[in-house]
Amino acid sequence: MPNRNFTAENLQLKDNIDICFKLNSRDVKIKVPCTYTLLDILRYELKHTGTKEGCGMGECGACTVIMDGGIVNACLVLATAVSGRDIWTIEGVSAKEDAKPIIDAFVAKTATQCGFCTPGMIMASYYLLSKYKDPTDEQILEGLSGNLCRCTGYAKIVEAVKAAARELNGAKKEARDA
Amino acid sequence: MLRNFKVLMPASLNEALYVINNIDRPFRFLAGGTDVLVRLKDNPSYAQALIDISKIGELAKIEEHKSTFVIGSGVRHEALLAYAPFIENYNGLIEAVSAIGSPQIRALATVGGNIGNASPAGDSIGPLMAFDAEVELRSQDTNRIVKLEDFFTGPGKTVLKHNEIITKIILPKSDSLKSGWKRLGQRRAVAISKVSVTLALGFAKHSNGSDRVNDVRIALGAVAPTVIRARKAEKFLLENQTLTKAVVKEACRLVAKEARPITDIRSNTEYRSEMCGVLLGDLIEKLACAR
Repeated sequence: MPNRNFTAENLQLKDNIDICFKLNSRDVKIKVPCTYTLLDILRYELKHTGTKEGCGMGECGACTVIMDGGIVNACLVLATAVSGRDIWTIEGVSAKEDAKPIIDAFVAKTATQCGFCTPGMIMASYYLLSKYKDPTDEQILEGLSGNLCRCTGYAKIVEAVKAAARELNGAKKEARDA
Repeated sequence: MLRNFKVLMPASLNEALYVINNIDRPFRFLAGGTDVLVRLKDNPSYAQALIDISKIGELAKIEEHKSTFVIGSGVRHEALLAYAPFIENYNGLIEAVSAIGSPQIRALATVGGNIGNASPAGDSIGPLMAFDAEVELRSQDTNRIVKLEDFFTGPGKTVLKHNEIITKIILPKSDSLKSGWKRLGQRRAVAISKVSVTLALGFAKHSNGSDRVNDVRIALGAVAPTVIRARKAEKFLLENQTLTKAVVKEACRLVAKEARPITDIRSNTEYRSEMCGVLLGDLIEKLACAR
């Protein structure tokens, strides 16, 4: 040991790693290859296949998840960086009360066609609407700029986010008025 | 799926410095991972080992000192964008960093990573270079400060030694400068810049009461083997002091000549050179009018 303050464990080249993290509010403990990304862990180890793999290079946003309160591409988070994180995927978010208006609006506005980008779009929209109660068109386009959709042309997705914002704000107002 | 590399996870800067001093195989740092993991996917031999420095807290702080801001190399773009003094006084930096990748990428990617990656098109580099930023490079036994302008030696190449880490970016305070950044890319998000221009201007009053320019910094991205300062155009504007139409036109001509771009899949030599002038003209107009 070079220095007694060092932890031998941290100085070893590793092939596998034990990680603990929170997934949709549940504790997960798992041993995975170090070469796995968060996306690989979710899909292949935990069978949470709602998070999609599109490009695998951070361009398409199909693998968008929430990590420690912000959105990230799960394909760009290596297993070593997952430990200790609080992760939310579409499986957890879609069960939340405040995500329901977003999902309903995507359906009502036909903002989903082939559906492959949809989980990522919902995650980005959910995060966007947690940041801005009443987002402008510019804020919606910026908020969804990391998510590609090759079917809809985006207009319907933007409409859906606006409709969801109205619904969410209306629901809060009703709750206040009641 | 990624394969064929091992990972090391030093928990502190000291551990990381020890590790890179003693490691027996080619390695890459993993900070944000947004470039490294993409490269590894394309080319499995890109690294035999990754040293994950993403959780080293001492690299992830922004500190304000008397005449500088010190940005830890592990500060994520999203955190830089939320830092109030930068929003107030470093508009060019904020504009550039807001254009990097997407919200998902900015939540992961780090300031040190964008610098260490040494892309001629690295969007945060232009404004940092225009503000005369320096980088601190540390090894187990050494500590040196290098001007960002002297840090890059070519595309993907820097003066960083195999046993050194970029630890800090030192940004001089410059309350008196107005700055802006513009780029051209295939689309607004998740695009590599074809050309980018940073402009920072300081103004003072002439003895006759009119405005004059007393400080000029111009940085050009994606038009040379590294991000560069356009010293001739800077000097010309500084000497002429007053931003008349003719002066601006000549500065734009000069800056287009200082660019040394190549033709590649994203754009070509002629267009890139000419656009340096166009973007500089836009920025001069914007900064001069905004006062």
